Parts: sequence; structure tokens; C-alpha cells
Amino acid sequence: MTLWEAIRARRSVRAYQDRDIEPKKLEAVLEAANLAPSAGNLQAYEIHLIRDAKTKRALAAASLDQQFVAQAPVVLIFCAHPSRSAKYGSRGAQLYSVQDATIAAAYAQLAATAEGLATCWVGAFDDEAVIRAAQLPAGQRPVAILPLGYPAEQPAPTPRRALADLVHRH
Amino acid sequence: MPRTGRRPESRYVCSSLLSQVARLQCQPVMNVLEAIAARQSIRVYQARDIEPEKLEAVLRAANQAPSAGNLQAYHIYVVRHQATKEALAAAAANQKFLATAPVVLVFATDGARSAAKFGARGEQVYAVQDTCAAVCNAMLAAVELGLGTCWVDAVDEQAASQALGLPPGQRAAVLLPLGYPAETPPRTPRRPLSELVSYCP
Repeated sequence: MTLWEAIRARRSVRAYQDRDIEPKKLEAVLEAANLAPSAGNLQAYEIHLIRDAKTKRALAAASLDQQFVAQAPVVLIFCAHPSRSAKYGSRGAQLYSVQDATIAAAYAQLAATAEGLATCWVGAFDDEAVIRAAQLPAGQRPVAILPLGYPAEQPAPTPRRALADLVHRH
Repeated sequence: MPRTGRRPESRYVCSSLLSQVARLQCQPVMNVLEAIAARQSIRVYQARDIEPEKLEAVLRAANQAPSAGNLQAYHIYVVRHQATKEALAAAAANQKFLATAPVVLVFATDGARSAAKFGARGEQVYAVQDTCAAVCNAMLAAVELGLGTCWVDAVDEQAASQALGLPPGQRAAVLLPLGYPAETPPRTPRRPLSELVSYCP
């Protein structure tokens, strides 16, 4: 699958097969995330990998009860880790760490697509409830939850603006 | 990994027979992991301009990025005007290399597009994430096309927004110079996965 095909093929998948992910594929997704750029290469984010069913159910509950989160064999939580970006002051802590985590999640999504896996970017959650559910260390803030597994649905592509509406030429 | 900017054109498989209005003119052969591994922050650019179809392909890739509720809470400004590029460089802690790229893409958040459905979280979090996801796609598409980029965070968003005359409510969040690379930076180190990934109970 070429990069362009992966970009086109990526969908938000909310139903997963009851089939585990091969360790090699999981590794490829994590390696891709680890290659993401970050401000000053400070990599101000962490990834928490969840397999435990009870923890996944708690994460689903913390995410406005989006039950499909618990259905995926693996759930990845991308957390901002602001103290790693402290070199850049409050902008580093408040913005760069969030961007670093976000970019890593975006890379993981594309790598997952390339591996035949599916994800859904879950952003609607109660931060504190997620921290409690996954027992996240102090000083980390969840910014994206990605359930990861083989897709059990094939959603249609979602519409996009025409480039003329999105792009403004100066 | 060979330097992406110097990859011979023959590595691209032209698919003119398949060409449709919405498709790329040339379909590169790099896959996701190759593009991710090849991406580097480029801060020196050739004077050479970017082919319009390559710029278009980068923009199309950005437009495919996911966004919260598919609200696409961002805009892209394509800057070619030299004085504007210099004003952006000045706004970005005087990182002068910005003005040497033939094109600077400015990714602006549009919080109101997300706030309409998601309220404050939409404006403060989702709009930023939508924007970042689009930048990610653009960066990787650029690599595949032999182009270089560098994620530049506008240090002074207000000054950058003013330089572009952005409408109220939009913030110039990320500046992405785009051009053919004229340097081969060393690879930047990463943590081993064992330090990055925690396996939770």
C-alpha cells in the first residue's frame, strides 16, 4: 500500500473483529509513532498500551460511553508529557507536548492502516476518568485514545471540503 | 534510507492512463513506513520551485486527514509572496530559513468550526488536533514527492496571523515551509520503545 493509498484508505472504524493483533504489526505501529517529529525532538509524550478488558471498559465509560473502545483487542492512549517540553516554557508545556502526542497518534493511525489494521481517533473523554481508569502517572495528560484492531466494518468515506474552500492562496 | 529529495524521478510510476481529475498525475511508490522513516526536518531549500501538481497532491493529502466529527476545523494558506514569507519568518522567532522555501503553508485553526458542535473542548483541543493531523498528512505526502518540510510553530501567532490578514477567529498555528531539500540533516535520536510505551495492567 502506498502512502497515498493509506491516506485515502484510513477510516474511523468503530467495530472490531475478535482477533488479536500480531506482535510484529503492533510493533510497526509503535515504531511509526516513535518516528514522529516533536518540538526540539523532546518527544514530550508517552504511549500507554491497554489490553485488560476491565481497563478497556473503564476507558469506554470515560469516553462518553463509546463502547467500541472496549471491543478492540488493544487500546493506545497517547498522553502529553509536558515536563519533557519544559525547555520551551509554558508554550512547550501547554501546546508542544499536546502537538507531539497528536502527531505520534496520526502516524500510528497511518501505520495501522498500512498494516491492515483499523483505528478510531477518540478525543471525547473525561481526562480525569481516563487517568484513573488507566492509572496514568502524575504529570501526563491524555490527548488521544486509539482503539486498534482488525476492522469489522467498512465505513464509507466521509466528505471533505473542495480544496478551493480549504486552501487560500497568497 | 536514501535521501528522499534526491530520489530519481524514475522511482515514480506515472499513471497518466489512469488520470482522473481528482487523482495525482504521478503515483509515487513509497509506502507509509518508508515515508515516516524518511521524513526529516529540512531547513535549507533549493531555489527551484515546486511543480503545481506536487503542491496540489500535498494539499489533497492534508484534506484527507481525520478531524473531530469531520468538522475540519482548520484552513490552509499557501504563501508564495516573498514579503509575506519574510513577515512569517520574523513572527517565528526570526527563523529565516522559512523565507527561503518557495512555498510556505500556514495551517490555521478555526476554532468556531469545532466549537459549534463541541463547545470549548472543540475550540481549544479538537481544532488544534484537526490542524496537526492535516499537517502530518501534508508532511508525509511531501516526503513521498521528494519535497522537504519543517514543522515550525508560530512563536507569535498574532503576528503571523496579522501578516496573512487572517479572518477573526483563525489562528496561524503551524508554519510548514515546503520545497526541494538542499541539505541532508543527521537522523535525530529516539527513545527505545521500552521507554516510550507503557504496558498497562
